[in-house]
Parts: sequence; structure tokens; C-alpha cells
Amino acid sequence: MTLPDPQFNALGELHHFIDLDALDKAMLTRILDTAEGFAGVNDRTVKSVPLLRGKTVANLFFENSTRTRTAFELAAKRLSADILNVDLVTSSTAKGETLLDTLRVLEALQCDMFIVRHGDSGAAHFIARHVSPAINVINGGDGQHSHPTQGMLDMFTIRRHKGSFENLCVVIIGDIQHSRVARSDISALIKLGTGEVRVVGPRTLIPAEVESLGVTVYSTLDNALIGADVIMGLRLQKERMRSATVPSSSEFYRTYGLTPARLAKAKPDALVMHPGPTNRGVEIAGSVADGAQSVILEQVTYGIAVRMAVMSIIMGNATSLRRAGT
Amino acid sequence: MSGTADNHRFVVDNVQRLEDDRPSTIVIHHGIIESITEAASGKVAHLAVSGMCDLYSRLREPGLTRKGTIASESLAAFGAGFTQVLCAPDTNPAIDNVATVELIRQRAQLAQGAQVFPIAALTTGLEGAQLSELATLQAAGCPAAGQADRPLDNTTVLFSAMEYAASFDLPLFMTARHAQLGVDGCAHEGAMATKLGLPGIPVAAETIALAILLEICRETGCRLHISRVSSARALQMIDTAKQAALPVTCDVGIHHLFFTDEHLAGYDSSFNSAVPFRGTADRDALRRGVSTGVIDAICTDHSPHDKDASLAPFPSTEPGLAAYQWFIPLALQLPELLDLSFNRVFDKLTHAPRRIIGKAHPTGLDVGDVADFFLLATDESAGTIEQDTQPAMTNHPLNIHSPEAIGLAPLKGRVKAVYSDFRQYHP
Amino acid sequence: MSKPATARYEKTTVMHWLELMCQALTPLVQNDTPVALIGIRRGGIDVGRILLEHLVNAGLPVENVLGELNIAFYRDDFSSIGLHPVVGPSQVPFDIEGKHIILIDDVLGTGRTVRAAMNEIFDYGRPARITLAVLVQRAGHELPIRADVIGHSLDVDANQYIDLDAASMQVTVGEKS
Repeated sequence: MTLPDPQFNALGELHHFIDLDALDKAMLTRILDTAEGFAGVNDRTVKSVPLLRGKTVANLFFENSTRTRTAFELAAKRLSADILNVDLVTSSTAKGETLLDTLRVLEALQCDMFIVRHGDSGAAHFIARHVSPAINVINGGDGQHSHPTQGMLDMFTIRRHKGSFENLCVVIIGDIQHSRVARSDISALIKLGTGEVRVVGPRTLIPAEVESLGVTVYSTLDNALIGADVIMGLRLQKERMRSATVPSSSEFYRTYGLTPARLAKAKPDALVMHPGPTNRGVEIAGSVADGAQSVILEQVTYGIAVRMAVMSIIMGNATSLRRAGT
Repeated sequence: MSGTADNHRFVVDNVQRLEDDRPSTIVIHHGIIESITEAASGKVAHLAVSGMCDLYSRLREPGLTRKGTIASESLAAFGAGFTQVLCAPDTNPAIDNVATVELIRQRAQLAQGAQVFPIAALTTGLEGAQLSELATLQAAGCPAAGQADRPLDNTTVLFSAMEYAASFDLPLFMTARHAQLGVDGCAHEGAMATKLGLPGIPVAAETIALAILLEICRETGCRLHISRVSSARALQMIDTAKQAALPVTCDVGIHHLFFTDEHLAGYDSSFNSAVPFRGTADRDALRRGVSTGVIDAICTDHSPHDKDASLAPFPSTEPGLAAYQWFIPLALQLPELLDLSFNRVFDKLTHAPRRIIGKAHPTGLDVGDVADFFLLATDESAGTIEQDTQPAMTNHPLNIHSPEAIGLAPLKGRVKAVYSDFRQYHP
Repeated sequence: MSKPATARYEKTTVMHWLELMCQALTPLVQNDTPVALIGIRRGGIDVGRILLEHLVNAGLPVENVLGELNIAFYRDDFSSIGLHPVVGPSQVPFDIEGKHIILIDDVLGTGRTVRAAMNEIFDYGRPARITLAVLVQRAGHELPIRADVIGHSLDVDANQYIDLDAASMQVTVGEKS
């Protein structure tokens, strides 16, 4: 990469959390280990720790998402931080203000951290490059590129159940082309040494040269599931029907839906995962989503601990930077 | 010592023309080359190269003057050694009327930079519905017509336009790009776009559009110039068409001989180009295409922008590189890169473009010609942005990165003087 | 009180200190408030395990599992040095509410670690009382916190460290580099 990676500060520590490609296995493992610490907190009566007391976290969502925004909000509150929700879907950018101008205005509010979700791939990189150095940025999802906290909570969930990644066979089903979750999952799985990562879906939903990411492409779901330890479903958006990439949700279900019969082809203790919200009867049968192998709700719970871990590590690195006088 | 002036006489000493093997002294009187004699000293101070002709450049005026003006861009071209520039029709208003043609030519004349030839808009407003008054525009001085980066999506209109243009032997400069396939894309559809999550422009978007253009060319005999080729497959198709003796020519933007989609790593928007930088295999095929002659000419694809154009996430940035500032240093790397003689590389920039637009006039460097050449110092290290006269707009990767960082050899080469339009100009 | 520049205390000495601690703790446990032991990571865990074993073997009514606290999220130095490397999550597998907690650490110095540990305990529930038991109390307190049960007191300078090696049960005093 010829442009310096904006994610790291002058000391080489993580300053922004934008995508998982630049992080090595040690860093990913540290995030997972830190999240273990926070997972216990969420089981207590007093579900918060004072770590980020006095800090302000701003949710800058240029795209709607109640789920992700709520998860970040809860994580911030459990760290005793103050949270500010800025609705940018309807406000200044709709009035024609450039992204950069919007950022400058928000910086004037003197927050410590921005959580950003934006429709353009690369938006989080752009914001990280231009934001004032006192602010940490966490990518809450940029276009089709990356959703790194989702990737990490998926890894946390897998590690909790399977222990290690070495001999695992992970299968990702569906709209890989448009999925930032898939890209983040693939990046983390490969980095953590997963045995085999498979992607499967209709060709119109598999990105060009996807093998270059380190995955194997299958065209039939039944074949892909043989020997699977972890199965990850992805949302199929209605937009896909409108843009003629998939004819209908019923045909998608018939060909690539995770039904009980198909699930039986995987290993008996295979995990069923999905970033949500799930479309029952499209990506996954209702009975499978609710079934014994499903860890979909656990993913949501672990998402809080993982986000607490990411926020703490980054905010902590910012302070060590100040101490070093940089 | 390169030139002395005495009223209307310039003596240009110790310069070597590309076709010669020894230096000459060129005397220009009243803008005409009076004599070319062997230089007494035997030393070569500079090379003398015929003025270059740019087959595709955006001058932004009328309409987008915050990005550039005819004055600023034609002077920037001139200072880079281009004495003739074809400007793209996607101005505002589009070049679909004589008044706009006149405005452009007059402004260019006042600027005293490169001579400007407007490319006519093939359809009014470039909307793709109604034909522009092509014959009238041709008579007003447009050497060609085209659709800039706005492909026609109605094949009936396209067929009709090409057939009509053929009636007047007007060459069409068409970029092979499908109107719907990959229309939302902003990067070559491949491994890098997949990794970055950027909507892709598949090679098929070029080749399918090209197939339609070539078939209509076959049917109508319209002279077709494919502007800014980008893929190996497209070159194969053009080669086949040429072998079938179709009246097809093509050019490549100079940057497509250097950069690939890998340069987009980290969302580097300085490599955002309307005709995308494709994979390494495509770039290598383009280089071979120049060497073998399948590609007839090299253009700049000059696209000046204001600073705001790049201050957004990649998909929202405006594509294009401002080409003139770094053109000569890049061109000087081509002989080695393409394994082609200096002469043959510069032919792609000087005589070949002129042949394509039917202005294969005298070389500008022979006795009796109107002087039209520039002096080139090949060993001087290329200037930095501070050293050169500030070009109007600076959107180019070399204004952000060192040459080594983007895979280039150290940059050398400067234009020392331009002799054209009856005067001597020092950039 | 001694003031050694460097020193090593062998296992027999250290075990003697632990024996003193057990003797001091025994009367505190013999009442009707339920008792649980909590060790502060990392040094307090090793001391805590030994104390718990002694108390359980003596047939005293204590929770038979040692609670373990990782105080990383309660430290007061986040603003200056960021997040400490996490040494495993806290595990308190019993109810805090209404218990007599014996809070255990290897070395009591400034008192900040204990302050953080107490804050964390209160986020689990409301204990009836807390007794602080440390293997070594050193000079240099910065907060009004004192141990109730002490194995040994050492008067050392701020530039000296005290380290308990769990494997060998030796305590070393040395100069910080």
C-alpha cells in the first residue's frame, strides 16, 4: 500500500478500527482475549465498568441501522462513557454539506470517539485520514467493504464454541458480493489460521476473483456443507431481486436456503450463525434459526463485549500516545 | 545555449532531431524554418521533437471553470510540448453548436498556448437521442465527434450516428463503454475491487460495447477511433478488426501504460480514472499493443480537478488525473518500458495522432515548414511542484507519492522551449 | 522492620509468613457471617489458593472456591497508560451479597490496586465486610488503606521491587532497572 495505513498511530499502535486486513493474528487474539474480560461484566448485576468514564462517544450513522447503533451505544454505556447519537441520514449531508464539512462541525463538539457507518466503501478510511488526531474512529460498516466489529464478534463466538480455528471448515453462504460482514469474516478467519473457508452462492453473488482472498468457491450448497464446522448465513436484500441478480427469495431458498435437511450434511455439532436480521424462509429455515445448533442470539450478546474491548483498547492507545508526548 | 532572438529570427543551436544522428542549428525566421545546418560544436544540448498532438484532453471550459479554463489548460499542454490538443465535448454546454466551437477556438487563440480542436458532441447535449449538426460542426473546425464518457444506450441511434458521420467522412472518437453494464462501477472488476468492496467495471463493459461499435463500423464504413483502450481483450478485438481492413484506429491514455488496479490499494483516489486502471495482464497487453502498433497513438486523458473533487470517500470522488505536469518524465520512461526506440515512441504522440485526424501536415521540423517543435532536456531531473510554474490543478499521484512508491523509475525530462505559432515559449 | 537493598526470602520463610496469616485469619472466620476468599490477579491468586487450602483443611466454613479479580477495568491509570494487557477475566462464582470477603494480594504498596479491587467487588454486590490480607506490606502507601492481616512488613524504597515467584514460593527484593 503506498498510502500509509491511517489505522496505526506514530507508536505503531491501533488508533482507529477500520478493517481487519491490517491487523495481525496477535492483535486479533488480543481483542478476543480482552473481550473475554468484558463478557463476564455483562453477566453481573452491575453491568458496567468505569473505564471510559468522562469520555464521549458519538454514533455517526450516515446509513440507517438500529441494531448496530444500539449495540455500540450499549457498549459505550457499559464502559461508563457518554454517548451521542447523530442522525446524519436526513440532516446535513442531505442538504448538500460535504462529508468533510460535516466532520469538522462534529469535531467542534469535542468528542473522543466516532463510530461511523456510511454507504461508501472506503468511507471509514477517508474519515480516519482526515479526522483530528485526538479522535478515534471505529468503522460501524462502510459500503460493501468492512464491518470489523461484526467480524470480531463472529470470531469470538466461534472461539467460544470451538476453541481454536486450526482445523475448522467454515462455510459462508449467500450474497458475498455485497456483504461487508463476509469480507471481514473472511479476513479474520484466514488471519486466525482457519483450516478452510468456503463461499457458496449463485455466481451473480460471488465477487470477481474472490479466491484471491483465500477462499474456495462452491456452487452447490449441499456439497459445500459436507464436513462444515461453522455455517454463516448472510442477508439477502430485496435490492438483489430488483437488480436482476437473483429471481426471487423463494428460488434462493430452494437453492441456497439452510434447511434442516441441508444442515444435516454438515458435522452434527456445526454452528449456525447469521449477522441478522435473518430472513426466515429465505436464507435460513425458521426451525434452523431457532434450533439447537444456532448461536445467532449469542452473537448479539457477545457483540457488546467485543465492542467494549475494541473501544477500550483504542481509547487506551490514544492515552498512551499522549503520554509519549506525540 | 538553445536560442537567441533577433527581431523575428530565432537561432536554435546544438539541438538534435530524432531522425538525425548529429546536432543541428535551426534558424527560424518569421515563424518559418529557414535553415537546418550541422551544428559547429558537435555537442547536443537538447533534443528537438515535433510538437505533440493530444487526442483527448478536458479543458473544462465552458461550464466547469472551477476545474480549469481553456487558457490555463491549453498553456499547461503547451508547456508539456503539446502544440495541438483535441478537447473533449463534455463541456457545459456540450460542443454541439457552432457558438461553443467558436468560443473555444477564440479563447485558445487568446491564450497563445496549444492550438485547440474541439471534438464535437455526437448527439445534442450528449443525451444520446438526437444527432448534432455534424456537418456544420465539421466545417466549423471539429476534426472528429464523440460521446466523451457518456455511452449511447440506444443502438438504433448509434447506428444512425455512425452512418451519418460516414457520409461526411467524419471520424468518430468513441470510448468503448457499455451504457448499463458496470455503470455504477468505479474500479476494474477484479481482485482489488473485491477486496476493497468497490463496485466494479468488468472488462465485458468495454468489449461488448466495442463489439457493437466494430460491427456498425463494418456495416457503415464509418471511420472509428477507439479512444482510451483499457483491456487485453479489447486489443485483441481491435487487432482482428484491423486485419479485416476495417477503418479502425485506437489510442491509450499514457497512465494506462504504467498503473494497474493494484495502485488503488488503501482507497487511493488519485488513481480513480473514468477509464479504469485494470489488471497487470491488461497493462502488459497495452504495452505490447503500443510496441506492435495495434495501438496507434498515446493520449493524455487530461482531467484537471479542483481540490474538493478528491476530498470524499473513493466512490464519491471525481475520476481523472491532471496529466500535463508529469507527462514528459513519464513519456521518457516509455522507450525502455516498451522496448521501443525513442523515435517510435514519440511518433505515437506526434505524427500518428495527426494522421488520425487528417492533419498529417509537415513535421514542423523541416526546412520550409512553419516551426512546430519543442526542445527536450532528457537528463534533467523532473521538477517538483514548487519548481515548476504552478499548473492550474494538481490532481496526480506524483503530487502525493514519490516515483519509487508507485513503481516508477526516477523521473527525468523537461521541456525547455516550444517553437510554435510564430513564437518562442519557455515553460 | 528491615531495610535490605536486595534480598531473597526462601520458601521456608515465606511459608512461615503464610502460617502467620492463617493463624490471624482463623478467629475472623469463626462467626456466623458466610466467608469467601477473593484473590487479586496475579499475585493474590497464589497466596489465596494456599490460604484457602489451609482454611478448608482446618474445617472452617468458607466458600470452597477462590474468587479471582482482574482489576484491569478499574485501575486509575487508564488516562495515562491505557489498557493493561488483560490477564484473564474476573471469575467470582459465588454471591457477594452479605458475605464477609477476605481480599488477598501478594504485595500491598500504594494501595491503588486494593482500591480498584474494592470498587470491582461492589459492582458484584454488597459485602457484609472486607478483610484485607497481604503476604507483604511495604512502605509507600498513597491511599488510606492498610492490611488487616499481614505476613511480613518490609521497609523498602520506592525504587525497589518486591516479587513473589509462585513456582518456588520465594520472595525477592531488588532494585528496579
